[in-house]
Amino acid sequence: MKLRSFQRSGPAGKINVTPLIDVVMVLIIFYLIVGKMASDRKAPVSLPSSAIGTSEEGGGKTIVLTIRDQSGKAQVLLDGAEITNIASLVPMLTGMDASKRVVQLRADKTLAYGAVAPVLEACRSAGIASVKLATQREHGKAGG
Amino acid sequence: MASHTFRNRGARAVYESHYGPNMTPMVDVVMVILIFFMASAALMGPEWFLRTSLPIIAATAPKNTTPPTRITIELGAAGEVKLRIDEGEARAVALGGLAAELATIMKNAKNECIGLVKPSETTPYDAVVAAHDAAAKAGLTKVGLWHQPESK
Repeated sequence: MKLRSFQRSGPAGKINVTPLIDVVMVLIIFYLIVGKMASDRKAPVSLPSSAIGTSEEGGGKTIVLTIRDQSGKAQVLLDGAEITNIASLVPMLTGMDASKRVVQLRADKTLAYGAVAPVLEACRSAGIASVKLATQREHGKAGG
Repeated sequence: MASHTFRNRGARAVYESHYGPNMTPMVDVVMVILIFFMASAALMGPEWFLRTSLPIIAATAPKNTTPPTRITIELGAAGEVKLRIDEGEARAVALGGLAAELATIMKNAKNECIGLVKPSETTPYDAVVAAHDAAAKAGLTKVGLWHQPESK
């Protein structure tokens, strides 16, 4: 009696790489999100809304200026770091070569313009000709 | 019973008895793409930007050029709006009708129009952005923000 030997029909040692790719992609996405959150320089601010605007551009070269309402007092942050003296903002911006970079201004909508103007004045003194005012997109409006 | 039917078959025979393509890898990839787009949408956020310039008033006007029509949007302490064309008389306008008013001025102007939002120290920042937004909506491409407000 001839015994039938067990044989594989496919090539031996073939590895299914699909689950591996899935896991690697999930890990990549996870690290992208964690990296983005860790480097986030945007402090939470209640932004005013606008019906028109342009989307973000400029990538990591953007300078973010934040003005928060801290129980009636304006708190100024430059890339997430608090600025206690407005006069020190001009040399800091000049040192960052701000006139050649995109400057974003994120100010709280409840503030009076008197709290925002000194920051804009400092920007002007540092040679910045234009800034981007961050606003909240009004519902149902298209981008420009 | 179904389990009884497969009892005497090998694992390979059971595997081959299933018809159609294997959907598992496709579902995996689609889910990963779904997560990726959900995450990127959440990170982008519902924000956008209004570009404003920080003007300086030159001591002398540039020669041999046609001066543009300067539309000044003056904002009061409660956000009330006044429109002034060049050095003319200021007139009160409702914030809701500002965009339409500016569009009419631009239509009738003979030369290029530039906008200047001029708030007072006590004007709410919300009203400043609303006025800038109305100017952009009217089609004013050059809008400046006065950064040396007078205290009223």
